[in-house]
Amino acid sequence: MKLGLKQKKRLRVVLTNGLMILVMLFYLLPFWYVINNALKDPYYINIEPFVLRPETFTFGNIVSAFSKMDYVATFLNSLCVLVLSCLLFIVLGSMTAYGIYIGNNRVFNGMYVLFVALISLPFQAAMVPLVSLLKTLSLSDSFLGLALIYASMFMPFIVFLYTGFIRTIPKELMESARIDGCSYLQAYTRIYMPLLKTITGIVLVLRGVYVWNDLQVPLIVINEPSRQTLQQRLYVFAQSRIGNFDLIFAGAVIVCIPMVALFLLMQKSFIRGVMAGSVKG
Amino acid sequence: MKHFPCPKLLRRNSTSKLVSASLFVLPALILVLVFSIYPVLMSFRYSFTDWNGVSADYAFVGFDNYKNVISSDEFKTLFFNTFYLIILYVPVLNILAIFFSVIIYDIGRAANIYKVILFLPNIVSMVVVGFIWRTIYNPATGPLAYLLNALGCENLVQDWLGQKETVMPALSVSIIWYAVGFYVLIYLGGLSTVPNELYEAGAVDGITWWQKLFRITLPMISQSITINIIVSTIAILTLFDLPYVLTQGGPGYASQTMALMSYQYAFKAMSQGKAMALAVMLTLITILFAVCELFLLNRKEDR
Repeated sequence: MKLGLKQKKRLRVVLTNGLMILVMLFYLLPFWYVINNALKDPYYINIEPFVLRPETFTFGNIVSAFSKMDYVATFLNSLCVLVLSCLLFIVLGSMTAYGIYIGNNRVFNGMYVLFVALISLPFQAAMVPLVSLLKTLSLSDSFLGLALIYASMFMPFIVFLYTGFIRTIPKELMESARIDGCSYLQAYTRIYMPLLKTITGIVLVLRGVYVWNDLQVPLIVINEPSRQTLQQRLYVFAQSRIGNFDLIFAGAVIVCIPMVALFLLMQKSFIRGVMAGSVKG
Repeated sequence: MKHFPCPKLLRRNSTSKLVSASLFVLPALILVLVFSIYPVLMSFRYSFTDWNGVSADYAFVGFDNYKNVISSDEFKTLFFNTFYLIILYVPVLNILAIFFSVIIYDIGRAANIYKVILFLPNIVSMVVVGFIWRTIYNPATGPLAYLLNALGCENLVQDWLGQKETVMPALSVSIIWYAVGFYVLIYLGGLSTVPNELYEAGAVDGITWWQKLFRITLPMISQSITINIIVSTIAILTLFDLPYVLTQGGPGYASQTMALMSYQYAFKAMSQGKAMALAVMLTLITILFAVCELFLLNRKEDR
């Protein structure tokens, strides 16, 4: 029997959706496994790992992980690092792109090329001297030290994004602003920063999430337990409780909640940000 | 303005322009010079010394650190794993990502849910993903073993992360699970720039799905493919968090990567010289691969 065009199309829709649903199961099952076990009486975790019944439900794991991880203080540490880093990303990134834009000669274009070339530099190449450099600047164990490392690590990529965008703005805008008596600083704060809002959102999504979730940099910068970030605390916490799956799962869940909640609330902007960031690239 | 040439004013104007431009660029330039370029140059310099990361004095030892790294037991595995990830992981990741993005692109209404779920692992951290997969692979209590037992395939249950033969594939699967959503989004960004007329013209000519994929879609998103291959190569060479949580390079050195090993040399084994020598090698390899891929893919694009 030959299928009509319409039937063929419907068959394809069913097939592709079926396939994607299988893939989604492969993604959701691990998450379900962690979430339902975080909310389950530890005794039942190995007995019925995929089922959560009202009788086996408990908030005990979450409460216990919450206090054992000193969650609130650790959360505030992470928040501090995130805010400092993002401020540096946005202010320095947009300023640099703006400088390259108004400079617009061979030297400034060369600087742009330098920034772009630095994108492929692995963090590991700077790692060991960075630790002693931070010590010299008395920035070890500090949030500012972390933020400065993230800023220098990602500045090439951020400058690349901002410059790509700012170059699409016609030069005439600057000329007319100058004729109206705007200083370069005023033109930056009043005219160009508002125009760069979209790209700022993209930078926040692409790099803010990374900073929030990173383990490697805190691992080498922060030694003082009271200054650990969330991911670092979770790592140390779980590493010292191997086998206590109730606490590990509960810890994982509470560490994820802030960013996942933000993502689900603003999923459109997150996804558009990642997609747009790549098209610009 | 052109009718009234006024060179002095113009020159002053252009000097003030350059001064302002420099002032705007300067902070980031200083930041990158101090926290990126200077440490990298120091890594390069110290990799030829016996500096231990702390003390003030050190002596030049020539290529000793490099010789020590290359002659160490773990180097062969490191080398093998690096190529394993580039030759196997990068293509598989990109083919899967293209496949998913092409499907999601014309799936219609549910596309958004698929995108959100595929991107979710990027939102929860690699630390969490690492712990999730460590439990999944646990042969005694893990859910994978549980499911295989329930399905009656007990003989398939293995200590996936504990055996030299299975650890790299197991690690790669979890990295792909984590990373593919990001690359799918980038490919979707590329797909959205393909003009619809091309597909309509193709439909009029009655081309098949595969013809559409290979004759229209792939050539039109070749730029995204280039970007993704280079980005995923750099990302996998420098990836740290996930393998660190999942295997710490074990068992033995079986899943050791250069990024992981240089951390462990520096902060676990306290052999800073070897760490920096390895980091310099990692940098050179990363740049080499990125440039080669750029060259090869660009030539292909031009054709």
